Amino acid sequence: MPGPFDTDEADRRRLMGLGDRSFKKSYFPELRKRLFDLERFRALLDRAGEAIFLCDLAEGLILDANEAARERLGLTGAPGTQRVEGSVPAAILDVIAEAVSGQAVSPVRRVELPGPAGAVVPYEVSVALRVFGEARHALVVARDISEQTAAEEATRQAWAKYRDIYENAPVGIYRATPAGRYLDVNPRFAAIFGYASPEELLAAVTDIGRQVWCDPAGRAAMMEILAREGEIRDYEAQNRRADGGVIWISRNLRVVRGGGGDIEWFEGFVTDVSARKTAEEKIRKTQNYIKNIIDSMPSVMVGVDSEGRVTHFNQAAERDTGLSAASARGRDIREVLPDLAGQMARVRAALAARVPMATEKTAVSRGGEIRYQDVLVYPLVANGVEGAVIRVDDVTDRVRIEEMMLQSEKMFSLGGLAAGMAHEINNPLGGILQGLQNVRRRVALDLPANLEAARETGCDLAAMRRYLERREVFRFLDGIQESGERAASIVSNMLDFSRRGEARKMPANLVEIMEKTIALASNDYDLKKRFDFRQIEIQREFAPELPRVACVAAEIEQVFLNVIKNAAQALAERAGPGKPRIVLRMAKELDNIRIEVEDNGPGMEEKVRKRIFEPFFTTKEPGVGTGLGLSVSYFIITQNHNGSFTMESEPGQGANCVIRLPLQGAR
Amino acid sequence: MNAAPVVLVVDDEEMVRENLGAYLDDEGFTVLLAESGEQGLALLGQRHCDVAVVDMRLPGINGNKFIQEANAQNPGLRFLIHTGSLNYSPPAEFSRLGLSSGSVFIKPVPDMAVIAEAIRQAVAGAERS
Repeated sequence: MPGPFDTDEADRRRLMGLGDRSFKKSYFPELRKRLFDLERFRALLDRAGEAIFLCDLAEGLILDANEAARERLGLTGAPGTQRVEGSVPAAILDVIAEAVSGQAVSPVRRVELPGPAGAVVPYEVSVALRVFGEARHALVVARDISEQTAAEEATRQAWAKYRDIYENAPVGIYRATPAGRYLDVNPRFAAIFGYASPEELLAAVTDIGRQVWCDPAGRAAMMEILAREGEIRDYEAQNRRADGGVIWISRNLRVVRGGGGDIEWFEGFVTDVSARKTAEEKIRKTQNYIKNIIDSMPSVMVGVDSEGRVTHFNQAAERDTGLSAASARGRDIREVLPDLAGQMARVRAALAARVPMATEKTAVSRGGEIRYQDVLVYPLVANGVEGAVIRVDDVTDRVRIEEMMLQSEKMFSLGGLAAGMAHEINNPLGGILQGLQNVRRRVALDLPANLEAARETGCDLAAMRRYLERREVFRFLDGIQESGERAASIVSNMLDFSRRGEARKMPANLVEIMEKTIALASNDYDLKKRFDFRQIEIQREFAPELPRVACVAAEIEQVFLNVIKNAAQALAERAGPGKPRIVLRMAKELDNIRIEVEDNGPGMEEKVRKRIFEPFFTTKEPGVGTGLGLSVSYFIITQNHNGSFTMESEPGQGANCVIRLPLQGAR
Repeated sequence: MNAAPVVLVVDDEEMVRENLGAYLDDEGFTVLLAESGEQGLALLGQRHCDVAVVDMRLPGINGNKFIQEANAQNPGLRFLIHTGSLNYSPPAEFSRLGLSSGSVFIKPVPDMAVIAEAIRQAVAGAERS
């Protein structure tokens, strides 16, 4: 920009309005300095952005106008020649008139003046009145504020936009102090907390921790995190609404610190997540409920994916395998349930075909004991779910009961058969045995009829007897007798099956019956023949003061004798070291007396054990026993006494007969 | 001096009938044999008899029926029962005939001495009464 001294001489002269000739010759330094000042001022005015002009109010003339006034307001006439009226825009004249009628200096007025091309340009106009000598002058300054207005409008619009967001945001927005006062909240925030307006909320809440938080300590904890981290995301807590209702609030906050580093306030968003929380809670409860159902099932339930990896593992599965659900998850089903390994092909087939698969009564070994399992594989056919649920039930008890029922059925039918057969068999047996007796008697030397017949027939009776002895005929007769008697005892035993608890039960002391049986066994002819019963160590483990049991003492004695004989016979086959031993136990259970007869004999295979109660099933050589002892005993215990009778045994581990007699009915 | 007691054996099983008869004959009894109740009753109509040893399952009338009729015919007759049915027990009204569980012998009876002894006791009882 050129300085005031840069203007050329002609300009300077013209400005001073002096005749060029006289002035040229004169030299007045003071005047010259003033002229420069004036010139500089003039230049300043011209370069000002505002339109500035001076009018003589009395004359109604524009005395001077700067460049902006000339260009924008069209006050281009020579100084002191252009009339105010007609050239100064009416809006400005109004401001001048206002100044004239009132104070010496008008307030700043905003007016709109016509601009180029019909546009309207906003101006700020101020008028100052001055008196120069006699004349009243008005100094008018008009500033184009169109740019400023545009900026203001932009700001206003931006503000309105943000305000709109703030006012109508679907989230609560707020600022609050660490001490617990709200500084500002939006309407949504007020609504979330149950207030009609932000104002109402701000007036009501003076202690956020105490009034809003269900647990004031929760707010303190959150403030701690805020202080440490500077911000917090999705912080969920239970808050209270104005009406006391509890809502779940999720907060996203940041702290704003003052110059000293202290937290001045924090600000952020809140959302009411109660619905989500309720849904989550519902889902959690439902999951828990389902888990409870699955866990409460006595069945082992294992969920597997399509690869056969464990996805679910219920409590029964944990109990059965000793694995925790957490450690089982993700592992191959064959590792977790090794019993299933043999069936994997079928499980896979079930998965592929999406058809349930069931295998029943699979025998598995559990700590040396044979257990039975039903295995069911249900493929999951729900949308998007691949895999299956495997259910394993221990059906050992059921299988054993079925075995027993089968056994009982067999015996019942045998009993019916035996009753019908007994007469038919006993008659010929009578013929055999009684005929035998007559044969013996009629070759005896002491029967008078024999002697008489011998004499009449000329037979030497004594010689005949010697002959019969020589030819072992008497031994054969003994054989006939023994065989006939055994047949008779078989029939007699078979008939035991047809007696359905007809005998009256009386309360009896089982220990006394057992002691009597032991005495009987030690004198048993059958046992003595093959085995010295007294070599067996009898160990008694009887609980003291056992209650009496209603039973038919003779039948129970028969059972005890059969079982002890069975054990003694098993011990006769025993080859191992140590003394042969029978342990007799008696103890009270809840509703039963439990009687055990355990031997340390050779034990038996599973397939033998399963048939041990079958009539005529025997592992002994022919002629030893009738093959009915244990089945008769079984029948007596289960049918006549409503008890149970089981045999526990493993090869090489001895055998244990377990008899349970119910206490009910005992006095 | 008494004549030998007369025993009637009623049994449809020939070997049992014959054997018991032979034994009792050897024991000194006079033995009558009948293979049915009807035959037995006919014999009782013809001959004096002290004791009848009766099988229960018989063709025609059964043992119980025979005992009732024989008793009606010959109130002094004593009875023993020799049966193949293990679960036989005499009807209660037979107790007035001197029948008890001790009078029942279940076949087979390998030693017929017990029957002979029971017959002697029955005869002695009948003489006392």
